[in-house]
Amino acid sequence: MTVILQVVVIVVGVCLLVSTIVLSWAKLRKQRQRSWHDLVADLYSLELDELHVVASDYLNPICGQITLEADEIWEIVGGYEGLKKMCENATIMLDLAAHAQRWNYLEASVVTERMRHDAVILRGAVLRVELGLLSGRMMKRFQVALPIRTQEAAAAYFLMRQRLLSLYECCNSDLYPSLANALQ
Amino acid sequence: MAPSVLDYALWAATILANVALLAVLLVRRRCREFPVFTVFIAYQVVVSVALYIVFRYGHPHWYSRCYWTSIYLEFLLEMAVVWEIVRIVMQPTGTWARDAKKMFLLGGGIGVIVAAALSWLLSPPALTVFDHLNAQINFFAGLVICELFIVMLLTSKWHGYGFRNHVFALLTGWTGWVVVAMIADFLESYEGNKAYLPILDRVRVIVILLAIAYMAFQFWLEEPARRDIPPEVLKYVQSLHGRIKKDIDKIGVT
Repeated sequence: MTVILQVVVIVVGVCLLVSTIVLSWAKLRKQRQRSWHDLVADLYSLELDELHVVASDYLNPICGQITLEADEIWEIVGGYEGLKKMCENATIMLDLAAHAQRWNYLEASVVTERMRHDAVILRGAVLRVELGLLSGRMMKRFQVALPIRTQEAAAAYFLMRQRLLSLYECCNSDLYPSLANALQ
Repeated sequence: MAPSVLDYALWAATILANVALLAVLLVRRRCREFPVFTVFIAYQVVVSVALYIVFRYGHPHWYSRCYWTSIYLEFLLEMAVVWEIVRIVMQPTGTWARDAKKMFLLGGGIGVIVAAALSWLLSPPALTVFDHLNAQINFFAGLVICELFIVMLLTSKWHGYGFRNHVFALLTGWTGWVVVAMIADFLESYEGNKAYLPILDRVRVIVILLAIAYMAFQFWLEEPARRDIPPEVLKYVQSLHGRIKKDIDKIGVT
């Protein structure tokens, strides 16, 4: 490899590295500056009643567990866009749970940790859905599991929402109605 | 080229700035939360003074040896500071969230491989093999620290961890310091005798001075008090993490 090519590769690598650091840091800074009301205003609205059906089918299995078709599940969660909105909302919900530590530190700390696990399951499921959406033989196993992962994501999101609303219902009844309204 | 008065002034200013930051860390008792970073700043003070003495009164050959030895020790301390930030941000309850440690170590491992590959490509027109190797290792160290910053930011975002004021100030100031030092080292290794290099070196020192001043100011300010979690609740949270991991392993969710 010529010296010029080596230098070009290094310069591109360093530029990518530095720009990633700057972008990640800027996002973190922006996230830290958002107030409670900013966070609530940034929540996406999702079709909750239908989402409840998908999540309940996964979380509370009853007789006839194959009534929901794969296409139906995908449509109900709003497809890939819906899953992305869930991920965005999950990030905001974790910040809102951290806010609740001001009013009820102990309960909010434990609930935040539980929600963190739900968020990891949600993001992991969405990542596998993204891999399943790619074509190619290597992605076969992700494609087969696509409806299961979609339902898993919906269930994790629903759990997070329930945990957050219950937390606010207990520790800040003034803010609870606004939050419940935003998470409709 | 012999250092100018400005170079000596910047050298002295760096030592004084590090002393001021160290004093803030000790007086405001931030060293309790950031023991490794406090050691790192103390090390900077001692090394700067020692290098100045060797430079003024010792043989140039000795200065070179002392300088490179201090760089390697500094790299180890920098790795320890990164780990300290990770511990503070990602273990608020004293335990790792699911997959957080694995994600950080895996990302860090990939970062080390990428850094090694880029450093291997570095072939500066150095005078000796020793200089060549030192330039590569120095560049590698800068890259590794920058990549660990990225992995840390991504892992904390993925798991929804927030940064409190002091740790965010440390991250901000130190990122500027490390990034500028890495770019300057890279340019110096290729353009060792160009006329603009003293200017580049001064820019590097000024950025480091600004970073130290920013961190000292932020560490001086109080952040909202952190309330201690009672031991029984802490135990509950830690067992929660363990139980979830065990259950997930059992049902095979990956």
